[in-house]
Amino acid sequence: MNLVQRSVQAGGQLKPLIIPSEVTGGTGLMNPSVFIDDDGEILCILRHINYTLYHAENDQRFPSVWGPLAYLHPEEDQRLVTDNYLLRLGKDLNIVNHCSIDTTELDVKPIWTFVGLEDARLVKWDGKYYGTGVRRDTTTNGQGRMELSELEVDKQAWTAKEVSRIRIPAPVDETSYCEKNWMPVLDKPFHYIKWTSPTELVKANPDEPKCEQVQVAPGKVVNADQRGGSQLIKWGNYYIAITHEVVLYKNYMKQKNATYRHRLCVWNEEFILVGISPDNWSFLDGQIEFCSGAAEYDGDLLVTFGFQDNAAFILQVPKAVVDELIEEAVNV
Amino acid sequence: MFKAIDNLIIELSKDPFNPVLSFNIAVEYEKVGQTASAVSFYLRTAEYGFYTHPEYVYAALIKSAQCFENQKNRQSTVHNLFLKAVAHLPTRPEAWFLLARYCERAKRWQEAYTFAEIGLMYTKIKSTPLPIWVDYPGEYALDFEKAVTGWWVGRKDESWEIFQELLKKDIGHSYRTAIIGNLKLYETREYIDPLEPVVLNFRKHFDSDAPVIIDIGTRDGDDAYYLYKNLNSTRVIAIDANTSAIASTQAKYPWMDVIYSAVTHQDGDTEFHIVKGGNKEASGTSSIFNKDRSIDPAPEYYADKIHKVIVPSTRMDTLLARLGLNEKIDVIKVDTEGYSWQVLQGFGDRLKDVKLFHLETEKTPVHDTHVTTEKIIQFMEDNGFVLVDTSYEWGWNIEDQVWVNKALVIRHPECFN
Repeated sequence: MNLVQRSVQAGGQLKPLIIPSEVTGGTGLMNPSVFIDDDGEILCILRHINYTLYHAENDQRFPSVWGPLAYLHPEEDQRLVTDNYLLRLGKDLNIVNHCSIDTTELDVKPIWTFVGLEDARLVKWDGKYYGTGVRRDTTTNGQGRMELSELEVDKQAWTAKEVSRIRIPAPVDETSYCEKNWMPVLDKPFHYIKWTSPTELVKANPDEPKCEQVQVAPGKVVNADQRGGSQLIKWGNYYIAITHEVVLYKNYMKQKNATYRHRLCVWNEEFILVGISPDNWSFLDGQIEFCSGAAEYDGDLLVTFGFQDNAAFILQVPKAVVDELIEEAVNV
Repeated sequence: MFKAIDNLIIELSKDPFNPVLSFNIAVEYEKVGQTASAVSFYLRTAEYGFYTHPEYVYAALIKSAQCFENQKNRQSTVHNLFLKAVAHLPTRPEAWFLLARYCERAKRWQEAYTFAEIGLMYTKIKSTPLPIWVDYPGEYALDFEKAVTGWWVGRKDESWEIFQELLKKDIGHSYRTAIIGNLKLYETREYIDPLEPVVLNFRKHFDSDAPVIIDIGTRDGDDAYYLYKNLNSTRVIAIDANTSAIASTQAKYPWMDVIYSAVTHQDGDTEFHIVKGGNKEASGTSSIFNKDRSIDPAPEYYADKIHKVIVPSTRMDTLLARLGLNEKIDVIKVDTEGYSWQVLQGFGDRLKDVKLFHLETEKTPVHDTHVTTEKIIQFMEDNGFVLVDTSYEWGWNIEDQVWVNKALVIRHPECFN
């Protein structure tokens, strides 16, 4: 049973996150990240891309010209460009306001084909809003590094502007190619879970490009490699996050394909991994889904996910379902 | 906000591989312009409906192509998806037509001609209806593509003949307009302007010069200009209730007397339905009446295109007095999209002062107070006019009539004895 069905059956709800096609040109809206502000408002960062993911599922009878999984950017523009929107949702989870996050003051000319801050998770640390995700457009080989993008949000005028940008170095191996999907710990400023098992906790510096490894702790052993992921949020005496695992494979023509599945990971307060869903699951039984947001709201869990890189949703998971998921994860 | 999507996604979560549910979600996303999301669900329809829902698969592949076409700059993918649809159900004509049109627009003439020809082989095969409109209006559209591309692959005579045959059929408004435009390109064939009967009959029964011409519902002033040029006029009055029509007429013909008003049977003001966002022909269908029962184009065409405004309205007898036109009027053309009857009533006693009318009338009513061709003919005959020409520039339902005022005829009165 997928998580949407399980949640809705228990009284949860699902809403699509859609902003007007006049601003998106119809291309993908994906991988949103939810956050509950101090005043109780539901905020989201919604990623918009200039491409459409073409994905042939099942028997792949109708693949694209380039195979069953292809990023269809404009044919005369090879870049895969991301821009981000800040949303305010109502209690019914519908979008009340949206605005483009203005990054113009800090943008530099991209020198790689993946452009923009990808899969930015929304956090608020030391009273400041940040979008924190990966950027790959600053080197000629697409090296990816997590960034801290500080946002100035005007809730009256509903505008958002990037006012500082820190590129976070890899804490141990500075030569690593791509650092992404670090999971920010919401109540521990500038800390991320960089790796799930063993759990590697790192701390970035918001004022300069420095990052330190805080701890590496063996915990529950995980067979499938777990990657981030939503933010880590406090849930009772635990921290929880939704992670993903990828199966990459090729068809008989050597064309790439992939399947993403998810699990709930549970840590104790010392960031020792104490539980993980025994079976992986999906949100809507799509082969490519991605969760990059989680937040506790009125006792329930809100999670945000992208579907096939082309659609975005927010799901209310009732507390009872979350507790069941935790129990399943911890007691295996 | 997106209630339909909300509900359908919930249904899909219970039955995630249901191709019909996926299709319906795709349709809803496409309706709000979110074509990437729509593609994801159309492609799921194609993959999961392969064995059970062939028509849904076929339509989903076509709609995916159209979504990418809408995003622009994905030519290979659009072409490929139309081909996939053709390969899936090769004996249906829709995808052949869309492929032909796509290639035609890309100026790949021989491919387009070939696809149109193949598609025409399958138009007579009875097919299960598709679950959605895919922009295939019927066999005539394949003929149209064949004719357009035929011109470019060296089959000019064949192309001309197909166009001529199409003009005799009940075809869509935009196709008819395009054919008329295309035929103007055939330099060796004589093009007959739809208003030529007005010129010929005025010369035949009155004079070679028509000093005063009035064009009610002028759209762009082009018809008024044609009459002005061919009848050596000295004063042209162009009237329209659409501000964009007024602006374009004034820009093109600043010397015309351009009047912003609806013409009806009463003075004051009236609702007016401006058709926005379409081409010149579509804009020309702006009307006092709404489009709820429009025949060609269908009401769906007008969804989101109608902008309702209040405009001044005038009777013609009032306007003629205001303009100081107290004598005979040579030619009046009335093209008011279903409102000719009310325009004529507004002439009052001045009807007898008009030498020649060109009227657009309709055979089928498209609104409750619409007076159709038959009753207008009776009215004109009762008022001493003789119908001297009929033609059908816009298809079977719309009749263009030329009426001569028998009492004012000075040449060949024997025609009316």
